[in-house]
Amino acid sequence: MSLLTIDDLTVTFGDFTALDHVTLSLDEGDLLFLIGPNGAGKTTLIDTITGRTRPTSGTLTFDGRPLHGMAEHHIVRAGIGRTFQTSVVFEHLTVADNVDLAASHHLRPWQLLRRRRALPEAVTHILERVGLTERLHDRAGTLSHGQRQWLEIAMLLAQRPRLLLLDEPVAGMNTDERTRTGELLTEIATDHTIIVIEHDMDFLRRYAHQVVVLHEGAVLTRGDLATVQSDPRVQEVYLGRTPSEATT
Amino acid sequence: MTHTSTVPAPPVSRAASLGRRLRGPAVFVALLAAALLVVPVVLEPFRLNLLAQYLCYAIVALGIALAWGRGGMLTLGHGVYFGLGAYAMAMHLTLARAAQDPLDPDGLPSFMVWSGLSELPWFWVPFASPAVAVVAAVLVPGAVAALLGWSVFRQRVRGAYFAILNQALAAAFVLLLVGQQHLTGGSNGLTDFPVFAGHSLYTPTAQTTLYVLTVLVLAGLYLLLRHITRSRFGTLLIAIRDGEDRVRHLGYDPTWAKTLAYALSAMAAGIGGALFVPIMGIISPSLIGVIPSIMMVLAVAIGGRYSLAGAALGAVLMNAAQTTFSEHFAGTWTYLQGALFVVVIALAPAGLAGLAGQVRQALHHRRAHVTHTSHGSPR
Repeated sequence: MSLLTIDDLTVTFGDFTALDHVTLSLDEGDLLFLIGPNGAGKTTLIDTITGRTRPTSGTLTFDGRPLHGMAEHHIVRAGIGRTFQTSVVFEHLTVADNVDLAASHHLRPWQLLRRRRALPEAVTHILERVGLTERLHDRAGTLSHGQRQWLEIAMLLAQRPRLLLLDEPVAGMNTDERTRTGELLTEIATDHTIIVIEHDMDFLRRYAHQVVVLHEGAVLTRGDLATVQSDPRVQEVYLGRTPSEATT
Repeated sequence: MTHTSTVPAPPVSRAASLGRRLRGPAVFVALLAAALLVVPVVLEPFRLNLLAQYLCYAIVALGIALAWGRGGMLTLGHGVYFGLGAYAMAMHLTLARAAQDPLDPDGLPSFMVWSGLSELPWFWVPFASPAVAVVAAVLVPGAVAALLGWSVFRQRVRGAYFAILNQALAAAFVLLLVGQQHLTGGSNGLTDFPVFAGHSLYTPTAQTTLYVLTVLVLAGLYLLLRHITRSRFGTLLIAIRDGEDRVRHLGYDPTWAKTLAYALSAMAAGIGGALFVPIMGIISPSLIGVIPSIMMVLAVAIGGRYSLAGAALGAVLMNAAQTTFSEHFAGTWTYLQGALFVVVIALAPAGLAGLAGQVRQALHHRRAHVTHTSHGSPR
């Protein structure tokens, strides 16, 4: 059974149609790359899945449960986590506190009020996994751009979601950081279901297997990267050039 | 917790880290001992009474530091909660006086008699009991704040809108008090409180006792709020302050967390108000309206809203300065206060407490620089 089913989803903002009858389903364990030109509706799709934007029509079903009308925090608790395009971390909190907070959302209010002892093992483990152990006590505001993205992924993992939605995780990273992120992503994908929005062609070539192309709010095609790349419609809309030019 | 041991500790020696850990508690105990043992002996009764008043405002400041400094809720109407606590206590003290007064028939407060009332209004009746008054002084502000907070935070009202709403609440509360003179004493407020639970309040011993009580309440509340700010709830409040929408996507509902912090903050103000009344001997709408509400926030801004101790200190200093300056040159103080506020906002947004941190950070930077270069030198 599919983990996430998007059926005939439409989102409009006034006259503008951000998502146009999108139908998409995702099985447990999938790693799906979502690509498309600017304004194709990629982020809107993630916003709608996570309750940030309300659908105009259509349905979203996660693990057999309709997501319609659920508040953002209930969607997180149901098992869907996300990162943001402009990695949003809490700059005044330490790296450890950022992850610890993300890991504690299931606690009851009185448990949150209790005195804190050592960091939970899960938190230190996740920090090790993303390679931020040495920055544990530093304020998140002092991290480099790449480290902030990893911190956001660490926060996401700490929520223990079943479905992860990553919005441009390698944007602004240098080559080494991209490689590290790609490896991290591959590792996480072994036991998570993931949707990644990514523009970077080189990154896609190395890590993407399944690709969905969005264009003007609609699903243009879905398939492995080679198939998608050779699709003339994709070359035209996504790469913005005629098929004869698009040799890469 | 085997993994915690793999975490590299900050490079400080054990003794130094222990010393640093004990410094806070040592300062706290020393201040408390001085406030309880030295100050009452040294200060004349008039000054001790003034200090006790400032400490009441310090209690309010602690609450504002929690709601505003931690939770980002700019509460420009804390005079209302201070007032609710104060009036709860004042109502009891008024009834206690009336019960003793041979001139008041049926124990009816004199302002009610003059307003033509022949019977005590129903909501005054429970306040004949000192226990009810004390409990109400804490719970009524808490309940009002919880109700208001929950309904507005749920609608995602925040920032300037929330501040204006608070301000309007303060204005409305004053209008209500002034308008219902037969029930509230009107703009004169309630005054003349000779007795509490059978003890005279006009003796020096009573005033010293009230001062000691205020110090203890302030210290206790400081410890409680310090615990809260250091818990995960405190971390959550900072996260909500810095990115409420992001917090939702971490799986938290900011509504209840903000409501709780706001209600706690209101309860602190209520406690401050309840202690203020027997110390000051009067409560009136002019002490709790829009301007006093702003003054309370101003003191916290100057002392340092991110630090509980800073906020409390700010309240004491600002009120002390107000007394000192208005004793000597009455007119200038308002301008000086305004100027001080501008200077703090421009140069030290974290207030006096933040100033200490800024200096420490600058020193630390220099020290780190020095050690760094010494490491780099050839051996």
